[in-house]
Amino acid sequence: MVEESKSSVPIRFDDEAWEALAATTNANRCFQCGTCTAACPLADSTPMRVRALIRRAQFGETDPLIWKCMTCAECNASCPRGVDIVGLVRHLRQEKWRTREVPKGLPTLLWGIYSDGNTFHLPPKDRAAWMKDVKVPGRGSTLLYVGCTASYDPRAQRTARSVAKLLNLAGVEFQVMGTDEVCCGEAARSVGNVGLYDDLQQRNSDAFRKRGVERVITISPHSFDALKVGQSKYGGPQVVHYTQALEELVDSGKVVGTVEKRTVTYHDPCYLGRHQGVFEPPRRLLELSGLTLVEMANNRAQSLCCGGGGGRMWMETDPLERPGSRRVSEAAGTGADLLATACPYCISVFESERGSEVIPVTDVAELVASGAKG
Amino acid sequence: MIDVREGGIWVYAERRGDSFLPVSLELMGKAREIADRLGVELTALTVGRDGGAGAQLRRYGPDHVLELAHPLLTTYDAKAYATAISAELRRSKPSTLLLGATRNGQDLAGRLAIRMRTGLTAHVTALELDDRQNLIGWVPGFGGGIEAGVSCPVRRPQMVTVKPGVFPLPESGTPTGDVTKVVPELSEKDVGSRRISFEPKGSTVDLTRAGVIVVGGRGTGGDFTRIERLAHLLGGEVGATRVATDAGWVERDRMIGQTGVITHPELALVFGASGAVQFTVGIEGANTVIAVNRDPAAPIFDHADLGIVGDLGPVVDSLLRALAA
Repeated sequence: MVEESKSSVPIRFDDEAWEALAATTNANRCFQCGTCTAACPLADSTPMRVRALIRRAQFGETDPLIWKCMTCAECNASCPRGVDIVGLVRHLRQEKWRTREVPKGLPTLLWGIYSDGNTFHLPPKDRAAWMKDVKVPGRGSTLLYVGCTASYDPRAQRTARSVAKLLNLAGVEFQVMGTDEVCCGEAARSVGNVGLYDDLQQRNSDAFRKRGVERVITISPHSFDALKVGQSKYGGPQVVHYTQALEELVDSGKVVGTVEKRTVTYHDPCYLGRHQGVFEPPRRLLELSGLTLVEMANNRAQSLCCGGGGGRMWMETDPLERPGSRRVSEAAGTGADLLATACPYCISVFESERGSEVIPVTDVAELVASGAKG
Repeated sequence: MIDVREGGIWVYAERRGDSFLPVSLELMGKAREIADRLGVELTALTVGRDGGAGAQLRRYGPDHVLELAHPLLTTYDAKAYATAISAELRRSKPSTLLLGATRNGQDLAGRLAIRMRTGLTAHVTALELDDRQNLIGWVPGFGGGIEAGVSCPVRRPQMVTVKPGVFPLPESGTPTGDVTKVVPELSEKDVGSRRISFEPKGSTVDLTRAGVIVVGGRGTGGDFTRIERLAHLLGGEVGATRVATDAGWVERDRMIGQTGVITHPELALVFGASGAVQFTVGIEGANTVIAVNRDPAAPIFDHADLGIVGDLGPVVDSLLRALAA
């Protein structure tokens, strides 16, 4: 005899919602082993459990804790069944927009992207302000795609200027879009607004075609991932991250130079490393510049997220839940003089964490540029 | 009884005490423009316990100001307000009624639309006229990244709620139009709720409405006593950067920026904040920004109307002395 359920709330399966989710994420392969939860960097600081949110999704429910997810993809990397858990989180967030159950701050983010073409709600006419004294050849089929953060954030502008300087030293012909550049849409996609992301991919594709762009170099790993994935649909240009482009230039001897002898530890940004598999170019750039690289225990595919992905840059995080402070401590523990990374979100997060006084945070391009000659 | 021609444009001017919400004035500016294009009259409608406040609206170009005054309209009540306003709408038959998409504006608009058996376009961000002089309200929807144009061609008044800040605040000018006070017929049964007392919920600070904000950042080293004193003397509020809030120097309600509050003060005084974009987006809407920082290269100076390079201690002290004098 089957015992009756004691719960007074009937379980209602929403087959349609589940089918839609499973079609793009392989979620129906999930056998609830919980490896994802074990891999999740938030499992020991927040109540969010990745396994549980997949289980709830099977019942047609959305765990309100999905907004904590940084889409760092540690779960994807560890899932034995090949479920695209990051895709699943984005999909569930998309549903939340329909019911308007979204955290404060995110509608403002989308309004900014929608009306001003950037994530800061700042005037489009100021988008080229990063250039200051930087000269751009303005020709050729290579485009330096700066992205919102490196266009408007004075800290990240330094990275964009360093990359432009290195391209100039190597004699690379390239163009920038200046005030015509619009957001890549990664932030919209990560908070679940696929419509706006698709729109921006289309606009970028049109702009690239009009300018005869065959190769796009991005500053942010987030733009790199968003454009690489998004533009493939349009048969668009080759998209690379600046660390890949610079590695080629240093390898071919077009840029040489060494910086002051110091030790450096490198933090793999999630969207460059785990999402796109670019682990070695930034390391080679640091070593070719004469720096001594020391690794953190959590390196390459095991890198710990800074906490800024998945739209978390626009949501406040309780200081006790911030993975960034843990990462800064880990970096300081290596004894290195510097913490280098290659993502404007990571830099912004690390510099705002306590502990960044102990180990200065810097960007790979800035380090290379500081000692480079053409 | 008021002498208003049929087919005019009405703006519901929402009161806060004896003044009006900025969105209502923004609507006055836009409505004047539409009224002139259509060659119709503009009426500002205001509701409250007494008349009198409505005279201020004459500075924003109306042909008429209509004040509905009754003791039962002292505080906002959807039922009482809708009863009073719908009676006037039936009498004067305007073609259009514009309201601000505020909490009360949205509440009232829905109820009025049902009473008038007409359509309502909510949360509009742009207004235009089609070739038949119907109003088209543009409503963005983020479900699919689309924008919809909505019109109401068959019923009148056509009703729209407009998001605050969409239209520019008009300059106040020479008073125009007449002011009429009407005492609507209302009884206790028309009132749905009674206000016993008014206590703001939870957080007591609302930096979004502060006229003056004195902000402290990492450079304060945690000493906010003089910042608080300065804010007090200026009749303003204390704000903080994320570093200052994380350190526990100031409560989180006062954090300004991307994950905090976006402010629009007349004056922001910023002490010891470097000017990371995640902070400066929160003071972008300030009319005047004065920044004090030791580092002449600090990005905060790109956002300041007036910058002082120096230690914040002596600067705050001399400001305090000057204000206390």
